[in-house]
Formats: sequence, C-alpha cells, structure tokens
Amino acid sequence: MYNQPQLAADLLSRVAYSNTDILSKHKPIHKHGDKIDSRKPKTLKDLALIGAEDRNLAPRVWDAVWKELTVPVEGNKEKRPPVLVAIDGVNFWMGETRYRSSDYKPIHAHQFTLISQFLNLLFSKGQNPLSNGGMVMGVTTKSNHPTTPAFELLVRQIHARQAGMDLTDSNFPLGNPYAKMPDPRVAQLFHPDTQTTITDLKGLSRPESKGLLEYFAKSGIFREAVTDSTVAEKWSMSGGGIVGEMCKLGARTRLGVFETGSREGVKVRV
Amino acid sequence: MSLSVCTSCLARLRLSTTPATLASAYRTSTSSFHSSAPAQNVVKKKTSNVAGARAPKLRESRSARIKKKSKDRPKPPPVGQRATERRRIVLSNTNALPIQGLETLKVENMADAAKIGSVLALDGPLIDQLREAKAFKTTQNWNLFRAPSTLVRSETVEVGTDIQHVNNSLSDTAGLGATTMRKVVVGEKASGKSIHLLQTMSLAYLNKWIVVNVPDCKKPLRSKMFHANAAQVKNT
Repeated sequence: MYNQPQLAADLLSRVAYSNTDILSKHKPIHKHGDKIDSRKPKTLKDLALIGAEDRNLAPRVWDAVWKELTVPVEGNKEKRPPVLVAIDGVNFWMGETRYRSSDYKPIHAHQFTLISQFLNLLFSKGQNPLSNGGMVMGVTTKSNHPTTPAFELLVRQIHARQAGMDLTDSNFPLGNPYAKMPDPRVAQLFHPDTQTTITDLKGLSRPESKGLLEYFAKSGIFREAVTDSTVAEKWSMSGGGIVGEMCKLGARTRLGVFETGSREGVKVRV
Repeated sequence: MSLSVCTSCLARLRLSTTPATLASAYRTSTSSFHSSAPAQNVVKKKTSNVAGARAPKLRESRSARIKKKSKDRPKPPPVGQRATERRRIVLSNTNALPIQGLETLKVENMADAAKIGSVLALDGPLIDQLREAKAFKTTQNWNLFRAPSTLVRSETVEVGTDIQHVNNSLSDTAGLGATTMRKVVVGEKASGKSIHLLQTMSLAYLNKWIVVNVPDCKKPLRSKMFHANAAQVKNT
C-alpha cells in the first residue's frame, strides 16, 4: 500500500474549511500517538488543520480524523454527525496509475491507501460501515475518461442485483468471454449481497425541462417564449433532455431553419 | 540482348570533319541569327564608390551585419496566472437578470416531490461551504446567472428522501442503527452527474453532516505535481 501525502493534505484542508462550524464543536476523544497529541488539538478542526498544514503528517492525521468521525467510544455521550463521502470520477480509480513501484511495475489505483479506503466504503460487504450513518456517493465521469471494462461490468452486475436478478440467471451480466481477463482488483469489488445502488441519470422529463428553460428565460438568457412546443423542440434537440445539452440550447446555441430549398426544414447551428 | 546505345541517337550522329580539340570546345559560339556581340567571358573587377571600402582579403567574411531591432513582444503572464484564470470559479453574472421570488433550497423542501421541475437558489453560507469543498466546476454554467441555483430533478428528491431516512435512523434506537447509503451514479456525458453530487453535498451541509469531498479523481493519479511528491510506501 502506498500513501499520498499531498492528496491527504488537500483532503484535510477541504474537510476542515468547508465543515468549520461542525468540526469546531467536537473535541477529539481518541489517542493518536505522540506526533499528533503533542500539538494538543482542541477541536476536530484543529486536528484536521495539523495535517492540512504539514504534508508529511497528513496521512496519519487523516487516519486520526476518520477514527474520530467513525469510531465511537463506549460511554461517550457526544454524538458525531453523519458523514457524506462524495467522490467525483470513480471510474478513474479502476485501473493502473502512472506511478511505478520500485520494481518498475505500474501501481494499481487500489494500492493507494485513501483510494482503497473510499472504495471499501462504497462497495464494502457490511451493512453500515459508517457507525454514525451517512452516505457514500461515487459519481462517474464521461469526459476524457479511461476505458474500464471491469468497472462497467461491475456497474451492470450491481444494477442487475438491484433489480433482483439472481446470480444463476442466464441474463446475469458476466462480461465478454473472449476479452482479456477483467481487472481482478476491480472484479473483487462485487459481491452478491451488495448494498450499493446504481443511480442511472437519464434525460430530464418534460416538466423538468420546462422549469429549466423558464429559469433561463427569466434570467434573460433564453430569448424565446417558453411554450410546450419550444420545450418539446429543445427536449428533442438535446438528445431526450440531456441536461448539459439543454443548457447549451438555452444559453448559447441558436438554431436556424431552412425555409426553402433542398434542405428545407433542416436545422443547423447558425 | 538490349542495346546500350539508343539507335535514334546513333542515326543522328555525324562524323565531324574537323577533329575535336580542346580549343574548339572553349571557343565562344555565335549564332548567325543574332546581331548582339558575343558576351565576353571576362570577370570585371568590382569598383566601389564607397569611401574607405576595400577589397575583401582572402577568405575574409563579408556578410552583411544588420543590427537587430529590439522587438516589443508582450511579456507572458507570470507562471500560474493563466492556470488560475482557467480554473477560476465565477458564480455570478451581473448582466443576468435577478429572479424575483426564487425559493431557496432548505431542509424542509429537500424531499418535496412538488418541487420537481422548479429551480431553487443556494443559500449564501452554503455557497461558501461548497466553494471551500471545491464542489463547483467551471463547466457548469454558474457564470451565466445572477446567483447560483439548481434544478430539482426527481433524483434530487430521491437523495433528499434518503438523507431523511438516514437522519431518522439515527434517532431510531429500536432499528438497525445508523444507516449508510451507498450510491454509484452513472449516466451519459453531460447528464448532470456532477451537479447531482453537488446537490447531494448541499443537502448534506444543510442537514449539518460532515462532507468529505474528492472533487477530481484523476488528479492524484496523473498529475505531474503529484509525481514530484511521489507516493510513499506506508510504514504502518
């Protein structure tokens, strides 16, 4: 396993400054070794800031902060708040990295401590890995993304389990038998009793599209009247309500119509 | 066997009556149909009128020496400035019209199905928190509108309900205890996945949860910056 001090320091700084109010109310209750305890942090925010300021100490401090947030102490009345772990772009964590080990072999993303910790939370077997409750949300990214067949299979398998499909079902996704062996580290993340759910974001519905376009119109950006027919038109033009495309149509792209000629009725970008 | 000499060339070949000598080869040829005198093959000495100029010595270099004009190039901006401009998060546009009577996103309306399709504004302190957590991205059109606000989708309400469910599980002593929800959000390009995450984070902040955000997963794996501080083997 490998540590990433800079990543841990950045993470701690984000945690400390964005949750200032809550972290300042809670005091550390665990012992974390001399290096941290000698600084005598009064609140959890102070504790997090030790790591945010000192990169070399950051991985250790992150472990300490995580222990404070998730491991309860018997008889302690102070309740810790629930935690949301938000990860944007999990599909980037499903392959080998550009790092090399001392044997010059590529290091897999799952060999990094922070990444494996977050992925364990997202895909772990247990019912409730966060003792104070909360949510772990991993979002995939489709811009400039690596090909991750193993992860895509994992998503399909979890989706099938979510729909109640049995493992022995003939339609249960098993991947391409003629393809290369899927990444074993990624394949390990699946288990039959998975608690993870898949949210498949599709296009907006018509009322949602209308609300969005009205917002654009009220801001003075969208210059057409928001009627049912314009909404229907933009909805179709944006690939069935893909929200990013809809925003483009609402804001910047103008469409023109060929009134006459061979391309009559064809819409083009003007 | 093929001939090494072209037969048509051979046919044109005439035997000369005068023997070819070196002198005949160097003789200046004149054409009978031309009236101008034949050019003499004599190199004239260069005469220069410029005072002080002299003939170049043997192997002396005589290339023109032109003084270089100093060009006024605009200075490139200092290191890192362009990157910061590119990554700057602009959350407001004073040219956009302010919208009257826009509701704000609150704990009370986060799981309200009647709000699906409406746009709710994000509160000031919440915006600061999201900014600190690096939740906003440059590609999300925040710079078009007067104030950051977000569209409530059916999935947003689902997350709101889930957060309520977790909150209820905390006080519910008879049940299984605190619940952990685990979600992977997939979808097409530009289908609002990152915004969905931002909405979830907003709801978590509003519910006084602690938010741990990893805004960019590829950065720790690919950036040169992180290579410089190469990964350390964990000792523990």
